[in-house]
Amino acid sequence: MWTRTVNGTVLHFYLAGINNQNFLMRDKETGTWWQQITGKAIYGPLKGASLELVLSDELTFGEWKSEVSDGKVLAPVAKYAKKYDSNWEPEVAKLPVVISFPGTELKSRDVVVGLTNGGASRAYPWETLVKQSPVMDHVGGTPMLVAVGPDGKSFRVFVSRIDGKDAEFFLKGEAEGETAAAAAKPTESKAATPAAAKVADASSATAPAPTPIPKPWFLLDTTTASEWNFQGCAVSGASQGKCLDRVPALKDYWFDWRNYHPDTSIYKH
Amino acid sequence: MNRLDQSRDRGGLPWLIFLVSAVAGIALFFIPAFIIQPFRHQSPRALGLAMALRHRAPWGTLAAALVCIVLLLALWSAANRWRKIVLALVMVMVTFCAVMARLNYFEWMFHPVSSAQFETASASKLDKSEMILAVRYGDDARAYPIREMAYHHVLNDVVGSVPVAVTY
Repeated sequence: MWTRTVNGTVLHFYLAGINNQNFLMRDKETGTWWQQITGKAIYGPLKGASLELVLSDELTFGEWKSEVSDGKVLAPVAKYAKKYDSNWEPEVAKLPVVISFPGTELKSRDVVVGLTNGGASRAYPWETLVKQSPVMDHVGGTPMLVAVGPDGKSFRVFVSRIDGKDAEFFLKGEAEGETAAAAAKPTESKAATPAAAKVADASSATAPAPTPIPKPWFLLDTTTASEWNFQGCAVSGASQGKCLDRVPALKDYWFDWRNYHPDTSIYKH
Repeated sequence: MNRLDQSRDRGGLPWLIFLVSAVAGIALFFIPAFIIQPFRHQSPRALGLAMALRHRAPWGTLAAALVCIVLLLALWSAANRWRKIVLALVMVMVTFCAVMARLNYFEWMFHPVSSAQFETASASKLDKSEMILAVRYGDDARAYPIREMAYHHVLNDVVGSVPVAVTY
């Protein structure tokens, strides 16, 4: 998501083509060509200009609704409602790719969360994040906290510092052997692997309640032992009322992220 | 069509100009259309060429079409039946390219949102597990369902008085 004011002019963008599966847009005012993923003008009168990144989130509707009291949702355009593919994610994942990076350990359509800081780029494989969230890491000299939300689908990245001091976070309840994914997706456990289904059966055998109530999701920091919510704000403990700084990050396919961040590293743990 | 035959004619120069203009007009539309295809690799050089041509195509194809029509009128009466067919077919192609260079066929595949309508979170029929792009400026918090954005790709919006381009 980008701001669209350049040199004092508000631009209006439209879809103008595609460049190796990342779309190109042009603005009605100058006809300049812009690359969607970088926000950079690559051809035309404004060539060389950059759009300013807007801090945005990729969340589930449920997570967003729980955080925002009076938000607005883009309504479907009735004329095109049939074209909205509810199954867009697996459908897109099946599309062919036209560029690949064979030397790397990820596959072209692997989903990563990518971020750039201090000249360094890092890609976090989505599967790793879901398993290990919260992930503590350093990128470009800054401590980062990458967290997958209580729903197992939303994510956010924060600077892992409280009052300027590096901090460590872990998921509350994790020590008791509960994973974020299991706590977050009670309804999906049926559709999960047989092993997961067995675990679900075992737990429902000991606890007769058919639908487990999801525990409130909190991160705990090791310095002040405060509870932090998914918005990155401390809701109890010594840090109560404080919020962590946000870091823009992008969920993308590996080939696309790697193509525009050739020096990116891949998070491993 | 045999160009050598034509250039041997006394009226060879108008024919040559007609055909060169026609090729230019057709290339201005078709080369970028060929390069910028969804499931085709775009090298930086090819993409640069495609954008340069497409950028000039609206007036370039129009100029080519005008030159062609003038020459077509000049050549028509002296042309035999086969040449008339060639003139007519080429003219149709050049006109097609001049029209296409003014139309955005990408928006035929993925229609833009002409005027965005919003609903409240409680009125929305979205399932809570659906992914959205969320942004907030001051009190203005907005959600763009990815299912919708994956089709439209671009949305020009104003959030809390900040003009933003929502892209997916």
